[in-house]
Amino acid sequence: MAGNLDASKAIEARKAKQSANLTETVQKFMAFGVLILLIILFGALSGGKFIAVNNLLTVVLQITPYAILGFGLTFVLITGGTDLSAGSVVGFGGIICAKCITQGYGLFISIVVGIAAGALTGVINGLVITKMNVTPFIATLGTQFAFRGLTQLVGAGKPVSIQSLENKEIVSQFKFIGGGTVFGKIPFPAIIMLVLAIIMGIVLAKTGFGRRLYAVGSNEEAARLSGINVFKTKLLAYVLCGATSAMAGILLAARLASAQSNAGTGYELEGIAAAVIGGTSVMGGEGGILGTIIGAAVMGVLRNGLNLVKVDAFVQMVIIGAIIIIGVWYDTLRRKKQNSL
Amino acid sequence: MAELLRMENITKSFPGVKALSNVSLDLNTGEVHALCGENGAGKSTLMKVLSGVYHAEEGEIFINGEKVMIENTRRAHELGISIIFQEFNLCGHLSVADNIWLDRQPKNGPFVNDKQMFEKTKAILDDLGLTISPKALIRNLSVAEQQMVEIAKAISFNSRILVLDEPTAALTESEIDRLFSIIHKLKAKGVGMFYISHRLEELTRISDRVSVIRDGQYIGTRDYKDVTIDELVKMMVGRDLTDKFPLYQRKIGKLLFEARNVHNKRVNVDHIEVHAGEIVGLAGLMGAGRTELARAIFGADKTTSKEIFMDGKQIHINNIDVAIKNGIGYITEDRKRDGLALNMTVERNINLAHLPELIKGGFIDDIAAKKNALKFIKSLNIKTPSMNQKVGNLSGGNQQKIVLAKWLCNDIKVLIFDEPTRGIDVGAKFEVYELMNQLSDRGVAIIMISSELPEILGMSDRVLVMHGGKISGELSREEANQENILRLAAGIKEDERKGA
Repeated sequence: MAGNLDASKAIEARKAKQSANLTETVQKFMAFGVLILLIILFGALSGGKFIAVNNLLTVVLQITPYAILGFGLTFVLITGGTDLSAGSVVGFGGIICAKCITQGYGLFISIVVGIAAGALTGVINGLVITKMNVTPFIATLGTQFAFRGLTQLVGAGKPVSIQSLENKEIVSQFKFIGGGTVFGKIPFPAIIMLVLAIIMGIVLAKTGFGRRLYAVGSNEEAARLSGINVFKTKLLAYVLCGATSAMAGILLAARLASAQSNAGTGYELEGIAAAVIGGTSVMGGEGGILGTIIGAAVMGVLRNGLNLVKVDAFVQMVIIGAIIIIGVWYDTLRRKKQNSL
Repeated sequence: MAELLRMENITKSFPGVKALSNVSLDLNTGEVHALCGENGAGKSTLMKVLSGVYHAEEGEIFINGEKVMIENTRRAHELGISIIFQEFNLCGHLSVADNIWLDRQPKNGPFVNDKQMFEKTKAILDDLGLTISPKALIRNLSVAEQQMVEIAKAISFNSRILVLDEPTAALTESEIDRLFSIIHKLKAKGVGMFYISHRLEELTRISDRVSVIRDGQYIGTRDYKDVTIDELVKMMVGRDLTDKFPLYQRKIGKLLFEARNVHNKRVNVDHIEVHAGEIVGLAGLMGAGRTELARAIFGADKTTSKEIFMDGKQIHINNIDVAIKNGIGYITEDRKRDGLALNMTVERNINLAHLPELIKGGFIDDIAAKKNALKFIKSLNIKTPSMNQKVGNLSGGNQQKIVLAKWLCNDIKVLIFDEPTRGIDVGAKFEVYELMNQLSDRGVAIIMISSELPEILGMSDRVLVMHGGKISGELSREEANQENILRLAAGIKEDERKGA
């Protein structure tokens, strides 16, 4: 009798769990659903112009820098931190790389130096946050100013132009990285974004480092007492964020064949928005790369689509702002529901 | 005594789970009605229905014989119902008075009338015999004082029905005495109280009646004077628990762990040693430095000096990593604060301290990780729908087992338990004790920090008592009794007592 009761209870519980799992999966792909809906909506409203292959590829090219910097930010957000200096590092990485090229270093070396410069800014952020115990928001607000200042110093307040270089071969190579196409019409930066997404997605989901990131973001003290090196884990997250920000900056500079000293201003907020729309929690412990790509795509599609259907630029900003809030609000609701179970 | 409250046939379901089914309960004026049951039995759900947090699908609530609808917590307050939860609802940066009159401050037009507010607060505090200043900031108060403020707040609502959820979980003996004297005062005023507690021993001192809930079902109500603890436990778990502590003959082996000259700001310990298979109880009052000693040994806190020996060989634990590598584990006092990552899955939590062994070339070995988790879910009898369940959704007992599993994964030699059974139910407690015995059987040296004297007396082979950061005395199993331990914990020396 009691056994029967237990068994029926177990079945009930399992059913509840299955339905809970199902709704969770559905909700997880909510952002993806919204993306598809937007594409269909804009496709119809623009009379097919939006879904023309060329336009879609433009959207992809547009979101590339945001998404790439968003990957690094996703790592930082998962640890429960934030990086407001990412936009400044976009400018910094780009200008360091461009400067190297103008100094006659090879393309490969210049790119590596640019990315390394970004990683170095991450080391600074990480050290200020972990060793000086300054909250991430304030620490990176400070470095946002500092790194932008360094960028201006390196460029002496002016853009560093590659276009005007004598070595035309290196100019065309650099421009290819930023805007060339492969396999027909696919923009080269999109390939980089995809490869990066796969690598970083695997790091997050499958490696020990990935698990440590989630653990630190979920409960830092528990992680520490479980023998996880919290300092190293956080530092590495900021280093990666700096590196991806610099990559985004190099791609931007390459597309224009010129590194602007104000490049990337405000990009950190785009990156955070993309991650958050994609389900990464600003409280730490939750999130993923796939979500960030989808989030970046939602933002890109909205911008491009609203342009095509001739919505006023200022109205666009209001709409995008609202979408960010609705996205996070929805996520909060989902979480609440989960926790009350 | 007049009937104050009656809850009839309360039924409440959550998706897939019937949390309460047809539970009826009543409360008289000036009565303390203890509510017992294992974690997850439905006590808290019932109290949340009473306070308007949840809505029951079926059932009726009567106050003074009149049927009432409790739509929300505001309505509950109006009806004179207050709950004091385990986690307090106080604003740390505000004063005592501001907290008590939050959003109901006496006003002069648009301005808060501070003078009147402080006076009214003082009147309530005086009435309860409390010496807390109404202007004191909450964050500067002790846990016990904060709880008193919560009670004062309830009084300020003119509450006739008060629910106390595990009020003594974080209190010291003397603080508990003070709480009970306040409970007696409230009784005299005719306040009816539901009192939820896992510490059955303390119910004796205050309860008039006791009711038991199990698996969402009402089991029964008894007059407290007619019931024995054994009978109560049997009602709670639905079976006979022959003993609260498992009977066990321990085999104590060679000297395994030794710590000398452990010093930092709050710890001043010259020497402790633990043999293989031995359970050393570490008793003392709150703030005696027990947790701090554990953290210092484990490398979680800095020390000015520390010598640790394992198997006679000195090891230098300058960080937690080294401690873990040498087979030392530390199960923290507050699993929610620093033991578990609550929004991570069961599997991830179990493997948390075990990551280095699961990583091959940087990648997690998923299959091994799952196997390991499954092994411990089975062997520790962790009740979870799956290993992918978030730990936050499990009961306290099951959470504690997950913390345990986390450390058992490693080749553990020395395990420090800090309040191993705090806030978990009788059945789960017994399982934790059995597990400790199994570990001791395997030759693990165990240090058990506990504020529950029965636990210290029931489990320890040897008892060390701390006071003011120092070991104030050592008692063998035979010497150890409540009186001896409390005396040492209070810092009273043997000869002083003889002199007196």
